[in-house]
Amino acid sequence: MPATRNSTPFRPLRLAVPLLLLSCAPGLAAAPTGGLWPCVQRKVPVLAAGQMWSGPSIENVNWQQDSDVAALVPVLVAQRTPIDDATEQVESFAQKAGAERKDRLTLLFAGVFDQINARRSRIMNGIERYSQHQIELSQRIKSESLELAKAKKAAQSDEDKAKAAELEQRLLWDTRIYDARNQAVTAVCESPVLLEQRAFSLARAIQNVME
Amino acid sequence: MKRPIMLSTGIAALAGLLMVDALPAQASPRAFVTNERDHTMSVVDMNTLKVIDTIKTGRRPRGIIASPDGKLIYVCASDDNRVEVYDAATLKLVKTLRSGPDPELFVLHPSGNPLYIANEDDNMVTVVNVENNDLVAEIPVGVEPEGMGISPDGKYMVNTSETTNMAHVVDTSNNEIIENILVDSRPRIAQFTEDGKQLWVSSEVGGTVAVIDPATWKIIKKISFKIPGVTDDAIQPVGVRVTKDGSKAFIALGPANRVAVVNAKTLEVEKYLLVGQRVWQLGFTPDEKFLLSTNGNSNDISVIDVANEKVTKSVTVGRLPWGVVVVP
Repeated sequence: MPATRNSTPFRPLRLAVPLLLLSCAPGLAAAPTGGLWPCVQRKVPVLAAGQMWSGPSIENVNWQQDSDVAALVPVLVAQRTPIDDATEQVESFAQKAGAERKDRLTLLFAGVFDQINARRSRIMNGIERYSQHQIELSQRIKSESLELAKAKKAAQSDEDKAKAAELEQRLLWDTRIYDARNQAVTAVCESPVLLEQRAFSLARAIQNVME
Repeated sequence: MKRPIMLSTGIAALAGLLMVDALPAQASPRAFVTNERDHTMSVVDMNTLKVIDTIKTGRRPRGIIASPDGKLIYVCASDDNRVEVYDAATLKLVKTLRSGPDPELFVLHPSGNPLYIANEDDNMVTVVNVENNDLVAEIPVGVEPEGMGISPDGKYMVNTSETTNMAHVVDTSNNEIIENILVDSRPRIAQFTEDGKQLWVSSEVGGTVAVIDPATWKIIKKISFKIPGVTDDAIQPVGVRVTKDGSKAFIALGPANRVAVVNAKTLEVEKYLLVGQRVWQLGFTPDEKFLLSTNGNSNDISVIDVANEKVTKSVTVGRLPWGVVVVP
């Protein structure tokens, strides 16, 4: 699987897709349940803190009140920050955290968890909308191909033939777009997995400096 | 003045050479980990906890076991439909064995021969002579056979079938099924205790581990798991290991990312250790001081200090680590 992923000609498009999904996601509207989820991975709408954290509870904690935590969280969460760098930043935060080190590290995890979970939910909603667009596009392709067959059969004049050729072009384009998007689904579906991995790595880094 | 210096350098170099020579004699145990997505096997030095080699295997390596003397490593290359046998010292492929289609898990007779292989695709257990690759028997079992266990005296082989939700007990003297034990949904692993007095079977979807008495083949207890902050459907028991002295059992809980520590006398869960993502299989070091877990989604193995019940380290291996075995 991974080998084919690297060799497809649609790579730039695929990389752009997660960003696209994010930028057009209208908040956290409840995802419609049912047949829209296109990924082989099971749909897990939200992450559970217990799956990555065995420290103190993070329920009802306000991590934004700690300005150092609030400043560090976006840096740690950002996927452009390599995980090794993020780990170093966690360690240096722990060194300077003072007497309330354990509490502040808990806040830090709460922030990371909160932000990654929210981002992940937005992406998952985006994936379902993406899937919805694909369904609509496939329906359009179906009706376009019926229309084309009819037009070709009936075409007598040059004008009719030109019109049929135009229809054919449109069908070709829509099919190309559909295929490219379909191939991108595998990569798109990896995004929630990658975010879960990041959440876990950060949780582990924070817990390692808790003792 | 120069000469003595050179001489001492020479002696130091010689000593260095001797030390290098002496190193293998210290024989640090080595862990072999199959990486399902990379089609490789990582070799980890258990003293330094570093990956010392990565070996290319057949496609989709999953189940992994060692010969009783620890000299050979057997690997199920699931997508190549064969078992590969590696020399644990030279790390070279020694031979391949027939396996039947889609081998996932297998178990060796305690004597080291034959090998019992579960074939997920055709509802069979294939029995192979590891010396000459002869097909000894094909035993029809339930749908999607998976976990494989064998009693320490070699008299009983147990196979679990994922879809039938049963543990099938096979008499190894005639390869006939003598008992079918209904367990919870999608049984994964069957593991006898060292004294042969208990059989532990994990059920991935059912979320339980059944402890069975081989004298009657009845379930003594079903162990279930509860972890604060983790939803029940994320608790999916897979790997099972019990210490030789029968005091502690460890259960890998899949996407709960925890290993449960069970008091094997009272059958009560005592602790949950946070390891890595999607913890799958477990393997003790020969001295049982450490237990290793393969964590499929975080691409690492966790090292658990057995006496202190603590995770001491994680070691990054290949992608989707699946099985692990440690040899002296």
